[in-house]
Amino acid sequence: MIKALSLMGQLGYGYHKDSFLSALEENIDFIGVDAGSIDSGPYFLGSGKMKANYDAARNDLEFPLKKAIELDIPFIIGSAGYAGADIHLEQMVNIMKDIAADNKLHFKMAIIHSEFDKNYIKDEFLKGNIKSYEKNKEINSDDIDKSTHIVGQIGADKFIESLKQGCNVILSGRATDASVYAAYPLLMGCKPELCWHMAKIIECGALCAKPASPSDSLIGAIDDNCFYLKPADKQRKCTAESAMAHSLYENINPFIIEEPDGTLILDGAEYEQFDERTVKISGAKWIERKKTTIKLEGAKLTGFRTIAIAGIRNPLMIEQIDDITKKIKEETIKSYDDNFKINFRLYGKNGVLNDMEFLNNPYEIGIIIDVVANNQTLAHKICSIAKSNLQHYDYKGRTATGANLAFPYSPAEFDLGEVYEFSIYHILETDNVNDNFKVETIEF
Amino acid sequence: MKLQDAVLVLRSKNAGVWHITIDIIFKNRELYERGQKKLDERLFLKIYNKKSVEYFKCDNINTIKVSFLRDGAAGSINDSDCLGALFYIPLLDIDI
Repeated sequence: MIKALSLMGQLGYGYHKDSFLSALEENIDFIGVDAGSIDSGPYFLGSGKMKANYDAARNDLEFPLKKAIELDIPFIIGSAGYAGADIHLEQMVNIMKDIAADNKLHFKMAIIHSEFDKNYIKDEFLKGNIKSYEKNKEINSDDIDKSTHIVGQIGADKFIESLKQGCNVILSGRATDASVYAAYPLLMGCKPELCWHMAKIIECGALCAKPASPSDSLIGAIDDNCFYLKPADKQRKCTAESAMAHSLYENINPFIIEEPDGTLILDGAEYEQFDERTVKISGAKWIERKKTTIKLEGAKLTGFRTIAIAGIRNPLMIEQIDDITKKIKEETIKSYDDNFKINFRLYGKNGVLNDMEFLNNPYEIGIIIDVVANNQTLAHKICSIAKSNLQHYDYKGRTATGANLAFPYSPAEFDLGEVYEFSIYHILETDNVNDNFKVETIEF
Repeated sequence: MKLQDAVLVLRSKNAGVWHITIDIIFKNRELYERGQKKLDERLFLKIYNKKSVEYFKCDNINTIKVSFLRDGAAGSINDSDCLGALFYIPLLDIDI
């Protein structure tokens, strides 16, 4: 039996030291942690910044890494620095260096690169090898040119290669969440359908348990014909329902999960309660793909943002708010024909659901005046002008001639800096794609 | 009976950058069958103002799953829900 420990749902979320330690008493074969996602938007890939900062990442890595070295079991980190480009890897390598030096740890670490050279992507695009993903819009060459970073979600291949080279620690660029956990049991000869199905569920840590938490550990154990899931914390349990529900999570299709090297088919999967805290799972199928396919992610700079936050409480003004904001928007665009976008977000009215909102009885509105322009100075200027126009707008029936808005902060405007958007989320299907992903090794 | 009282799980989430997926896991078989009568593909097209959605019935776990393209990519300039976490809200009070 091969036992995986999923440290937590995402690096930086924190983990429970006690439950982590009690899990280690169960002869764990390797520890994994996923450090990235696209969930928090395009900013991290676009800017090259990490989501979990130095302190948060180091805090979550230091003790578990020490234990892994002490027990001589592999420690595998996927999607370093959240977005997994080379610039993120570099920052994470520095954290690992500091941890190694400060604790006098000695280990061999693989660094797997998954950022693409733009020229390569351009060539593949021209050859027609980049396809849209589930009907999203087709890629164009401008999307490629403007992307600050383009990464690929890698599969298990390079993790397996690194383990074969005897690396105790693997730090990978962008990777599918499941690859982090599938590689080791695949190398050990476990059945691929069990490896991938288990990996897909445990990558979120104890999020598939009851009570759920992404900030706690989960143990996945693969046997000959089934696998088991058990939360590390004795207060939590995995139930058939919680595991089933989690295998649907974040996928378009509940029966099919596409990975770079194959397809996991779940319609025959069976979930059964094994003991009070453990669920036993079997019955998935795995179909190996002939050619590895890689999901590409790219983000591009789209402008600079300034926002202002204010409260509106006058009932007459609230009644007319759609007209008021429409007029201010039109006037601002007419007066300043520069390159900017202005958006009023009306929290308390329809700030969350926009056109889908089905209730209409606000008594108070939190408004965000949201301006994105092609430079910060312009964004600030437009936001400031729109804010003062709203502040002094003479709406019908207005009696309060002082000001229309309650500002919680001085200054009212906040410069939020660069704004990025996803430019690429497409599928690359070409020969020998894994040759792009270089593996370096360093020894501490 | 309102949908929110008939479910174990009612959630929405991004499935990648361009898609929203909604999971409706009913408490039991009977409620799942009752729910399907009301929550057909047409209802989702209407609520989410879409020309097409992918509609799945997962009989083994009493679940309806619906996925569709977003208006813009997650986190784009006018997006108000980067995680796609609150797209389930219009379903809460649907009478099944």
